[in-house]
Amino acid sequence: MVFSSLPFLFFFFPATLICYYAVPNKAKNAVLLLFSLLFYGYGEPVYILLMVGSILLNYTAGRLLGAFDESEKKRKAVLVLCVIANLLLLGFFKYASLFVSTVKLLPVFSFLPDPQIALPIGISFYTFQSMSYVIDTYRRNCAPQKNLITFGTYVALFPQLIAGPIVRYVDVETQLQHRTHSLVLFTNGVRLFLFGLCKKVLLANALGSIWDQCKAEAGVNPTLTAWVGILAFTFQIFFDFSGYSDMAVGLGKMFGFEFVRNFNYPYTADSITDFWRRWHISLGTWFREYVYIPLGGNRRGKARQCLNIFIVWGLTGIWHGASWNFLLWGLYFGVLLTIEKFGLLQRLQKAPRVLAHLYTLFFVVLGWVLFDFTHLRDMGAYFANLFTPQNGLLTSDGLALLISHLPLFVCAVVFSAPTARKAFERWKSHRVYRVLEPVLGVAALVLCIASLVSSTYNPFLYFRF
Amino acid sequence: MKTKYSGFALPLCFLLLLAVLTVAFFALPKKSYAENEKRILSDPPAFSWQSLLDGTLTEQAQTYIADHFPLREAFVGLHAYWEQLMLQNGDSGVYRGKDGYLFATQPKLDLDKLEKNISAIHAFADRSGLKTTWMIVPCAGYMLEDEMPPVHASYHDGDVIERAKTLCAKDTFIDARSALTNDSDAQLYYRTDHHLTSAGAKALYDAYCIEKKLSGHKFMLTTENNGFYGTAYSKSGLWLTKPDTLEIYAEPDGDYTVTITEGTNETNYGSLYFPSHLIEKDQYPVFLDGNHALVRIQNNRCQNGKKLLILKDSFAHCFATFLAAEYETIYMVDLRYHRSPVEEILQKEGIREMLVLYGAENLANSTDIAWLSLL
Repeated sequence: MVFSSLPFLFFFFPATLICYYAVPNKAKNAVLLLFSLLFYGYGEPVYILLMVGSILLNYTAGRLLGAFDESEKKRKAVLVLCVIANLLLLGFFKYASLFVSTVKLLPVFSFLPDPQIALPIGISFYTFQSMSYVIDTYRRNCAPQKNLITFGTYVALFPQLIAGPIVRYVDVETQLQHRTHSLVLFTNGVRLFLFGLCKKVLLANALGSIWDQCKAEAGVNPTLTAWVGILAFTFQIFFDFSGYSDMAVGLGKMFGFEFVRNFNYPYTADSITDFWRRWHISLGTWFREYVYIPLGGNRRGKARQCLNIFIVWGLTGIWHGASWNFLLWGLYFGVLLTIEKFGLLQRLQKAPRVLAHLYTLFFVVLGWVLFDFTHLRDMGAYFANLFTPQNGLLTSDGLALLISHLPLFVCAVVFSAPTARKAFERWKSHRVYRVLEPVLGVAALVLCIASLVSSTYNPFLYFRF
Repeated sequence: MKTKYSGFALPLCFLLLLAVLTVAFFALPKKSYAENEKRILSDPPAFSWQSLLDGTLTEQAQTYIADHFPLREAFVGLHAYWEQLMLQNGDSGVYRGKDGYLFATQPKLDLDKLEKNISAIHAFADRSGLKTTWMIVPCAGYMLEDEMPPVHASYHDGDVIERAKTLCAKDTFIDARSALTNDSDAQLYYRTDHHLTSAGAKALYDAYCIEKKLSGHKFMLTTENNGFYGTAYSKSGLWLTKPDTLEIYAEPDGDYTVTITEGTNETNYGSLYFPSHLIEKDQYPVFLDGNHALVRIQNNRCQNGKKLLILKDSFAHCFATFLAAEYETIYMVDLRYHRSPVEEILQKEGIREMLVLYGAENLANSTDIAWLSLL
């Protein structure tokens, strides 16, 4: 189930909310766990077992780490085994198909059958969350969780279950046991949820239809059309992902949780380094805490730092999906970040701001081509569309595509920058705004519902009776 | 007096709206058929452990919720007008033009498939010894540039017609573009539907008569019916668009027997027109009852021995009500639905002549014409 869907908004969410606030504090986690499992099982009921298995595995590891408090050797063994088990689960369910299809390229292995495993939704997210718990327990950054329901709630918590943010256990340890619910927090949650919903439904979905058109035409797009397309995707993926994160954080607030912020206006970054501090922050933090720093980070010389950067970015890339283009995309940023680390960043800081922003956006936008084309041939064809006038520079159709989406692009630019947030901070206590807010909120929700309903409207015009 | 809690109006309104719609979903009676979408709406999902485990239960529930959502069509309309406000004209598959015109946007036309389709038809004609006439109808968006919104993607019907013309040099080719180039004020395409109006179909008929050196018959306006909302209207969600008027021109003393074959079922009717459709939103099926696999039109007042096969899509329906006057027998075959050999009929009836009448988009993109080589 996704948040931007009718079943979630009108059935799952109200039911969860009512049950959650109807039960005493003691039972709230149990309600959340139950509904989270339902939420997860909605799409793939069988994978609830996988989720429960993952919860039990990591819970047991935590308890063992607590039980072997005296023996570092045993603790290490538990950690290593648990991390391996988690990675095997992730590896099997997410990467087995990729592995087999790649190995099959060798004639010797061509007999191998495709494993045909459907990717369990959110497995990349909840495996990483669970691992943060085990590693931090091992490091004694947090105490082992003795209550299985509380731990289960942490892993399965539906707001961040399927698309993040990746919440580290240490960040929510206290909230899991004692959290305060307040109307102010709830109101903020609703506001953020609505904002996220609008980003996803009104902006990302509309922008997506432009990109779908251009992507399907890879190789035959005129230059202008290709740029309109990739810019549409640039905004689509941001509003899709950050909108989803906003909804998750907003829902968290409605249930008394304060999650970390996942996006901080990434397209206003003035270097690639800066971009990655603003884009999918919780993933970056995870890799820094649990991979980059343990590998030695920048403390073991330049050569080792380079290697570490490439390991982290290779992993970050392939984490995004079981396809080699994601690895390519990750390494692409590895290269850019290395270049910045070894001098470019300092020069950028002295350069005019406009140049720094343009440089950053240019490479981020090109990165999305690597990100969204699974096949190298299409990817190459699209790059050719972007940089050669082989299909003409500008056609009337391309111009029509741009003009008819100009207001959408303007909205996209405005909401990619902190403008709206600043305006909100400035006006939020103003009397007019207080009257206006519920009106705007309802109007926005009605528009989102209209868009969701409309997407299920399928005239079957040539049907015969 | 305002209290400091006024900020809580937002969550209150938010929850209230969700609650009202949820309650309405359960409380309101459910429709079984959506006229605009021309489809039967889904039934409530039936529970079984099997469907729960394989995920079909939740899928069905999702469809059920979507199909019976309260104020469903009102929301669809709101979304359509929101897109207009954002200048995203055409994103829903329909352009809102001037003077109440709605134009379906054009999918990519496949000229390679067009060639394959045409050669399949040629092979069929050669096999059956048919003399072929072509008439390819361009869409409204292509013909009515003046009524189009200022910003729109281009239409490529001209490319299809030009290519077909080249490929069909040995056949008779009637260029519908010139027949439909308007020199009078007559409205040749419906505003809310993709089809030709009766005036448009009559213009094609006139061109056909000239090409075939037929004297042509006289037709009289017999019916003028308001409230026709066509397919472009249904697709657009622009519910405030004014309806079209559908006109029927008929021969004063026409006497026809129409035989409609569906599978093994044959039914005879005494008229080319099916007025029961005039009370529906989409009235175009008034001509020959809309889409059918095989339709035989017998002109009871005509004994000239002329017989014709029409390979067609729905553009032919209105047109055939005119052309029927010229032939003793007409067979109309719609390859979208017809899946049995045509040659049997041709031999039995001794048909030597064929008209291929398609919309340009359909002829280029149809995947059904290939069936001809298998029939």
